[in-house]
Amino acid sequence: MGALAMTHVGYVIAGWAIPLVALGAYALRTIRRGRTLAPQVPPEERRWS
Amino acid sequence: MSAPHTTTSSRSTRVLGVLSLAGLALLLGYALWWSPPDVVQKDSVRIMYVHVPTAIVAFSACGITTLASAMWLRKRTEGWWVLGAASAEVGLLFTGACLVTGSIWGRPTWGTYWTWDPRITSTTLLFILLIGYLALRRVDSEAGAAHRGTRSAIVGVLLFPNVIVVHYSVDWWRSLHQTATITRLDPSIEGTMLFTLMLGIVVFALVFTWLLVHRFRVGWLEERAAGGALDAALVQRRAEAGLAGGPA
Repeated sequence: MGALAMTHVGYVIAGWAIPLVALGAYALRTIRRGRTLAPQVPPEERRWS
Repeated sequence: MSAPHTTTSSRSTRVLGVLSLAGLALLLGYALWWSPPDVVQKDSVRIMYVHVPTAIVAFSACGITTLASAMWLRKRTEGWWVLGAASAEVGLLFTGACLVTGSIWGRPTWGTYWTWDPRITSTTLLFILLIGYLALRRVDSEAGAAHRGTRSAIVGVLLFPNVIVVHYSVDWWRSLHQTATITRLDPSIEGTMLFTLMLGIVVFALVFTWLLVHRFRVGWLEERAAGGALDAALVQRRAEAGLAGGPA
């Protein structure tokens, strides 16, 4: 079963790409927010450090 | 300050992140190549391996927010407050992904991107409730922060009952959406398709957990930073008042 023989290729690609891109973008945004905020908080209040 | 101490990462989140990425790669292999096409739906069935897991994760996130809201109403501790928001925000993302993938899957299988089917309508209501919950947390209340918290927590408590409505909507009302596939004792799919679906649920649960932990820590930092900024503003105001030589 190869991708070339696949039916509904556009729907399958869109169905996977949209949520994965959205999740990736949200993950990046969350990590960046954390990096911006973490230096503003004393290390003893960041229990995971 | 070294990088590991100025992020929301820890050893456990890094392990979780690597597992999530490896799982996603494996899932893509099974979902797009190694699992067979469906006899009726052909290859459009491959959307199921992202649609069903995102739905299950979204509903679990609503359950966590409901639990956190109930616990916050009872104990009023910061951890439950931050957890409720973190789970709702990540849950909103997964609910949106569920609706979008369902819509895309609906076009080749039902012939339409959208219909006011009971399952879709109740899931849309859940999406709106999540937005409402997150919005209420930000809207100031004249009665104070506690009132604002109580108001949003009550909406949070309503989330999981709506998940139950979503789940049973296909049984209670006439629905275009199919009934339960994997939650019944004799699943209606088997073999590689069932394995791929289960793998999808595990992988998206890992991704959700990774996102939830990071989002929780961001929320924790936001609360601390907001408190720190207020303290700094008070110190500056007192210093200015002292330099001016009189009371503010």
